[in-house]
Amino acid sequence: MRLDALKETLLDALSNQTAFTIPLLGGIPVAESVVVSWIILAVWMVLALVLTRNLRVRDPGKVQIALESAVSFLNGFVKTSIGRHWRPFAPWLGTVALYIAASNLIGIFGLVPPTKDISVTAALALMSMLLIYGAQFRYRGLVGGLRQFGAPMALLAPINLMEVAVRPLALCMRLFGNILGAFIIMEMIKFVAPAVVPAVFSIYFDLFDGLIQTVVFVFLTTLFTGEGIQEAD
Amino acid sequence: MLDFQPSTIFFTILNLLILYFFLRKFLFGRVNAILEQRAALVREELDAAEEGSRQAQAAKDAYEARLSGAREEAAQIISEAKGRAQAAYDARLSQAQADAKQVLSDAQAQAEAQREAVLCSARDQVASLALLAASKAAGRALDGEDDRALVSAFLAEVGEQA
Repeated sequence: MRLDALKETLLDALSNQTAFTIPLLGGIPVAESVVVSWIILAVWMVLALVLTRNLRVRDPGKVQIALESAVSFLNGFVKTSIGRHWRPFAPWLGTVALYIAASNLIGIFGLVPPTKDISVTAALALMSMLLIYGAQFRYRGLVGGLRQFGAPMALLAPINLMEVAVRPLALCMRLFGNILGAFIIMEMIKFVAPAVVPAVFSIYFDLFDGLIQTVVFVFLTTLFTGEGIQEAD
Repeated sequence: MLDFQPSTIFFTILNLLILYFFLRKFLFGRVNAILEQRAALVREELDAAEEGSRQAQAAKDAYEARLSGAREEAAQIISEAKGRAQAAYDARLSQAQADAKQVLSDAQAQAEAQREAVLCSARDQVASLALLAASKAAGRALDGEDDRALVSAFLAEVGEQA
């Protein structure tokens, strides 16, 4: 009986719920993950507005110092990875990092992490792919961008072309798999021992793993982007 | 589990773009603007500080040059004054020495003259006495000019021999 209940819970955890359906074009389903994403968006937007309310050049407050350090860290990281053309990439990578981090960590507050939905991670990976190869063609031109597929030697061109699909797939699956795995494990632990114990494991599976996966996703995207456009001048 | 839902992908991309444009304007844009302004401010203040220190150095050099000039001038003035004082001292001293010599020589001359006068008068008196004695002995007055000159010559002869 208990095993049946566990199976039920797990199946429930694996499936993606549809929050509601927009009655347009024969019904557009809006997944739970999208609704949670909206909450995350709202939180980040409000936080951004509140935190950047009173920025001062001289005599910054504690909050501003923390904010500046974080943005400087992001800028420095993107600068070292991408090089001369880092500037337009930093805000996007920062946005992705904030979104994924919030998505991974929101399980702590009892909400379903949006990154547990493969469609969400697929969208993230798709955007990363557009960024990586868009940047490659943007900074190298059409010919240079195509030639980059033959780097470092023409022999590797098939592998490089395959990577166009493999990279986003790997990004998508890694994030999805980790968060889904952590989510399922947490559900199981909650099922077996509902008190105290989940909190302890949550530190690893929700907090640590969530942050690590955020860093991995953003780091790899930055790395690939940098690889595509570096030495382009 | 592995069902890609186009609507979710679309909504997520939309969400990401919305969040991106929002954060780029209101978070990264604002913070980066502040960071750049601060960097510009720091650069400006560094430049100003360097300029100020350069000016201070120049002023210090000028003061030092002027100070050493003044010191040299002072030393020159002092040495000039010393020289002048020395000269005045020497002049005064030599003047005093000359005066002393003068006084001394005057005194000597006076003493010599007195002595001469005394000697002369003594000689005259001796001559008178000798004349008197001789006239007594000769029985007549030997008061002519010739006699006197004779006695004087005699006495001079005697004085030289004595």
